[in-house]
Amino acid sequence: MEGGIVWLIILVGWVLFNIFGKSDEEKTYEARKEIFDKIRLQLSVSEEVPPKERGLPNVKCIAVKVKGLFGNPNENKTKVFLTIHDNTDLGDDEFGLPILSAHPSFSEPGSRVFTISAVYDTSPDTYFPDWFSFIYIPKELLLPPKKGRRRLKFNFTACDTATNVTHGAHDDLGTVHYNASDFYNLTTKEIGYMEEIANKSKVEDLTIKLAMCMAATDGHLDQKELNVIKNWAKSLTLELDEDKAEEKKKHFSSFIKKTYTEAKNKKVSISKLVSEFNDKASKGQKYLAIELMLNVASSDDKLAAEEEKFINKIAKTTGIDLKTFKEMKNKIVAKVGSLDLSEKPSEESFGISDDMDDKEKCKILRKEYTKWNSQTTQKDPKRKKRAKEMVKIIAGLRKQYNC
Amino acid sequence: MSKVVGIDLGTTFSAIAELDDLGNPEVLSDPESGNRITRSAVYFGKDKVIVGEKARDASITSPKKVVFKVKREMENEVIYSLSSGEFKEDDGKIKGYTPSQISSLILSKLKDYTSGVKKAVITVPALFAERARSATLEAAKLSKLDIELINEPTAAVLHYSNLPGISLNGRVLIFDLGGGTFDITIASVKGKKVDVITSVGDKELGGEDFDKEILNLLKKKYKKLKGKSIDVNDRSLFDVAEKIKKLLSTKEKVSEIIEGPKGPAKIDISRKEFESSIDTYLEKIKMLMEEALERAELKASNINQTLLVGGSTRIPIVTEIIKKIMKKAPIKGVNVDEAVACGAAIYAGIQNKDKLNSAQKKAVSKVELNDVCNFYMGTLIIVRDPEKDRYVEVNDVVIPRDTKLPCSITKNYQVLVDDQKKIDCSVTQSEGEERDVEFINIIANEPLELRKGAKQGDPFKVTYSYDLNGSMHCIFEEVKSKKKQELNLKPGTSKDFKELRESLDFDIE
Repeated sequence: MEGGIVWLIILVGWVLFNIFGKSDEEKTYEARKEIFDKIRLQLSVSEEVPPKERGLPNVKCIAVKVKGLFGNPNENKTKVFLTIHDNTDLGDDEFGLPILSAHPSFSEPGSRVFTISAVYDTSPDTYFPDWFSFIYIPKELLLPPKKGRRRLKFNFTACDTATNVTHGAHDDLGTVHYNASDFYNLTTKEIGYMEEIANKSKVEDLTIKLAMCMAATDGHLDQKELNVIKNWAKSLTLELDEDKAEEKKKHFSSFIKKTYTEAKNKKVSISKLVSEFNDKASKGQKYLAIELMLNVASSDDKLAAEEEKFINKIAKTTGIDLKTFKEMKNKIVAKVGSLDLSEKPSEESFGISDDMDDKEKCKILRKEYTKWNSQTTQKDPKRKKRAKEMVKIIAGLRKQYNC
Repeated sequence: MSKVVGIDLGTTFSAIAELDDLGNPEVLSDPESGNRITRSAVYFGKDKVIVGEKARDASITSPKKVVFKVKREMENEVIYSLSSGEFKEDDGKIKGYTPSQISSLILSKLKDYTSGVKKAVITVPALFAERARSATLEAAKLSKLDIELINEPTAAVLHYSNLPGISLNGRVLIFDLGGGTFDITIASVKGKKVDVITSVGDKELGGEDFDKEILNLLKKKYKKLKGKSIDVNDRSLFDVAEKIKKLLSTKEKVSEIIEGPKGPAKIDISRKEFESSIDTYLEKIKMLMEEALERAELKASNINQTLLVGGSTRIPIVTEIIKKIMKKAPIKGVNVDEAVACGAAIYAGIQNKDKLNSAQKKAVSKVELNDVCNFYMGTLIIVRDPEKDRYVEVNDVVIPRDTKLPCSITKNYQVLVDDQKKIDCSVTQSEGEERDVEFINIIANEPLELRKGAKQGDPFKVTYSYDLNGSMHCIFEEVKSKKKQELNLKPGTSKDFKELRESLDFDIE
């Protein structure tokens, strides 16, 4: 009992000391700390539709906002950087692989690593009193190293103007005055850049196989088609050093032979092939494959219906932008020597879908008319002829829709 | 004092006009035939050339020696071969005449309808490509004419706005359907001040195409009656087709006796059959009308008047289409075959006031014309395509279509890679706002060597200056070194001009 009373006296004494016993210096420090906590640089990353005045599309973007002190104590200007790292499976204080940018405006000079920088006129006590919307980033702009759900670390730094960032890291941490981070979970369906590197060889093979199967859809594989595939494969070895190029050439040579036989005998499961390709190829690689297929299809100066159908099908399953695909196909349609009547471009090729009303269809056809009509004065007689045919088809479709 | 004239150099017919003493445009007649419009046909005889109706007559006996529709070839690098009787790609081996040489013979003939002509304004379709404009200027130079160009519908609206007793205040649509080309221009007119808003067109749509469809109908019907086809290249049948077309503008049905390999046959063609045979062209007309309104950001109800130009506007279905789309009948009141030449004469007067008498000066003093650029003028650049995830070459527009002339626009670009050696300076032209390089025309292309040690991101400037006469000056400049590549797109003459001129040593009849 007595022991308990002693402990109580000690505790009360400690509390009273804490209340009345702090020195002035300590009190000033605490007060300053409280203020500093209030104005400390903070970062907030969330999902938001940008306000109208930003002039951005009305879709959810990643909103990056900053608040607090960022003024440079050394200069009357401050350079700020926003970098993003993939911190999935890493601690908050660590920095994972950098995120790449799909658009050059948001990347470091000379690389594709995502970085945004800006320089502000500041004094040492410049701060954002309220949350300031630094940037709205469309999600599609961010390219993580791997697909799926990724935990992204957004890092905002305020530095001297001479500071540079290379591959997402500051060249000299001594020039960084303030720093704030926040996290955001991003889920992507497209494969990441590290996966793209890992899958490169496999995707090249799958692309060749796809092109071979497409060429075989009309019942035969001719030498011209095969040459386009061979040349494409050869182009992949150009940037390799001699030994690796030789090795790769050997691989392609035997792979093309094997695939040729399989495609000719229709022994390839297209659905399995397409599914594997879509799983492993990046968007860029998907476009390359489509481009190769279009070039193979038109190598005999004719775009056969079966081939076009095959490519349309693949393009749809890959999830690439169908408008871009249409433009790619238009280039081929403009160049090939013949389009049989049975193979005339369908409404779909002009970007017309069943859910559109006739007015909308008529408008699209008119735009297509402007495009093709301007080609009727092409120097190349083949292209001229094709353009005239396309104009006729468009006019026919317009009649059909009572435009 | 040398005279100034306006010339409508048409696909099927041409006309020349000058300002009379009071400043009113007057079409000049062929002193021999008295015709106010001259057929754009050229017959190449042994030592002489015949232009006009007589040339067409000669085509019955010597079809290969007569050239028709040369205007449609102005933008092509072709030669008319007298031995084969057709235009062929110029591979340097074919003997014959270029489109500009042939056009120059038509111009020389027209020039002789009056005396002392040195300066002229020649009309061209609004959507005439750069190559075709160049060839037209070359033709003028070959016929010793100092000329300026004006777009056909623009000339027509100048004529309409200067007609006594007509007040065209407001927005007007000029519907110009001639023998070979079709143009629509929307302009804002206030008294005699004309501001062009936009022009659209089709270089291969006109009366000649309708004649061809009638020929096809004749062929089909003859075969049905006689079991054998007629030769659609027989020039005399072209004349019959043209006659039927003209008659169908006033009659519901026309009967003609057609001579063919199995003897004569009486063939009936109804207006309905004719209209159905040209429905693809009619659809094109509708599309271009819609496009013109959309480009001008106007509705049909915003257009005060539709003005007709060109002989093919006499076809009833054409007027019906206009009525349907514009919800108002077009103005008929001028000679549609002469409106363009008259407008060109007025423009020639404005441009050469020092050559006018005081009454003429007074007549054109209030006339003002502001035109627009009829194409997208651009350059080729390399950009990273975020969708395809790689660098691609694209067309970047520098001067947008419908920009008021004169104009000067600068766009800033960057050097692509460190130590880049050169930049290809390309000037492109397109009717639509195209990014795709496959769908544009490159009209000039010269390299510019960059300074040693050029760095990625170094600024590079491109400036296009376009004047009212269709001349464009393009400057491609590396900002740091001030190195420049200047491309002058004033339509000029070919290097072999002397040779071209010498080979035209003919008497023209």
